[in-house]
Amino acid sequence: MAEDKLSWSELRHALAQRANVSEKVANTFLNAMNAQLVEALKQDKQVKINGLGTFRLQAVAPRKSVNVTTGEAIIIEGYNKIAFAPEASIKEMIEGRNVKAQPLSALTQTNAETEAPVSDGIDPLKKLNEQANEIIDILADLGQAPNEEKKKEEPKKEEIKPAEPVVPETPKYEAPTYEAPKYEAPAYETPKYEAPAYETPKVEEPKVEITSTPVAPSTPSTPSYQVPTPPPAPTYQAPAPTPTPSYQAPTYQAPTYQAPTYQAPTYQAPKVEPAKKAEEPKTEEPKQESHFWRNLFIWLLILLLLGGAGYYCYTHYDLRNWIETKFPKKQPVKAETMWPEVERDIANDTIELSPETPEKEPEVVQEPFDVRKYKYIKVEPMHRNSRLAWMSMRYYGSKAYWPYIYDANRDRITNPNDVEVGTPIRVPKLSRQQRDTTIESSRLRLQELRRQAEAASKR
Amino acid sequence: MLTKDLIGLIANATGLTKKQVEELLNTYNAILRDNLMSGKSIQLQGLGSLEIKERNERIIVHPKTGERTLVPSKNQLVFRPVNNMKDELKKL
Repeated sequence: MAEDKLSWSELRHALAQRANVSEKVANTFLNAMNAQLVEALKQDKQVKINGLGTFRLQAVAPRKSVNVTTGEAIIIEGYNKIAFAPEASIKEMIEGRNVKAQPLSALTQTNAETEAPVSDGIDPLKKLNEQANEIIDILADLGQAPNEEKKKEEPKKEEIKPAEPVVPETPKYEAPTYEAPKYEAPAYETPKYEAPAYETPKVEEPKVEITSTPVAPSTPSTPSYQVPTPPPAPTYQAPAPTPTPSYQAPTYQAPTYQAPTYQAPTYQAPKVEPAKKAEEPKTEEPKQESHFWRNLFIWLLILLLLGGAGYYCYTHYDLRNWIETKFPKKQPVKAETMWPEVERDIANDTIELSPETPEKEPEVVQEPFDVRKYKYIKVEPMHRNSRLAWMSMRYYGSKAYWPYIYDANRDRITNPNDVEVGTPIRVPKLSRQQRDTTIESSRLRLQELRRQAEAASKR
Repeated sequence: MLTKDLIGLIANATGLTKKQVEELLNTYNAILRDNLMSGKSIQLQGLGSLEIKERNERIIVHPKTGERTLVPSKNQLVFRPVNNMKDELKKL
């Protein structure tokens, strides 16, 4: 847009000419104006100039960022941005046209309408006509007023939708012609309801009652009760029966009036399928359902009987014993073979161990105490609830090395199971070899020491 | 700050009367407007430049209804401050 620029000098010249002022004055004015504008911005952060717009200082908040090369996090400090909003009148003038934003669908629709006939030519028009004719025929069958003009004008997409319902509708109209005689047959149902069942009771009941009411009071009253009291009794009885038949009669007449209403839908039905369909299954479904439920009931009964029989047998005869005797004697055999092996092993062990201990016990000889035997980690007084085993646990990670501690403190400990509280105990430093029980020599040494300690405790 | 105050400041700085300044300002605005309408951009020394920029048409989607609307292209008046002024006002 901006090919030409209005330079400072040109502006000054124009201003001087228009305002009838010398160029000097115009120049001073323009310079002063710019300078004052900046000053004003500094002061108020907002300057409004009538006929032009507002200059404003917008604060930009500090934000986090990342140095692209190093990947370090940086904080970009906040600063002020100069924003200019032109006055509304100028804005409108510059924007030129006042075109409002239109919904896109409206624009595309107008385009489609104009483009479609140009691109596709004859074929779509023929199709449209055919479809329109079909629709008109269908509508004529239905007896509705056809709207030709609207459907011709509609675009393709909308026409496909009415075409789809057209296809299913045509078979619908063929079908009823074949089905119509079938439905005339059920018309036999209606006379059944009318003629035999409901009409006969109507005729009988009122007639009998009406005849009986005059006869009944007359016959019993005259022979049985000759006392003056009888006359009120029949009067009370008479009104009671009369209302009951009168109320019963309309209730029975009502179904006779309902019957024709059932006939009416049968005549209207050929127009619409679903009504007939609904009637058809009604006659068929109950039969199927009855069979199904009957079968289910029978099967359930059989299952129950079988279950009862099974339960009875289970409780009254020793089926479990019977089964065990017949089939599964192999499993217990396995268990028997497993156990004796273990027993034998244990027996062997005990037999081997038992002779050794009694032989060695009398041989135990307490070694003499020597302070220089070990290097020491620490000297710790015996705590109240502590033991040598726990001390070894604390220092060596296992209770098993407590005999070493006993060995290092033979001069102070007489009975390793009962150490006096507060006795300073030297904790010896054990080498890896001494701690490793997989080495035979160290293990034997530990056993030795333990035996000695136990012997000391028994003394 | 309103036009009145600016006029007062300019009058103080230049020694002109307020009426004169007001007239000058009005003519100044008229000149700017005319030039902008004729398609010229204006350079203001020590301040910046006023330009007219063309904005392309674009499609907006309404976030709730999902309706798409076309916003037509339009011209916009843009003020570009000079670097000096920018730096001067960056930190206050």
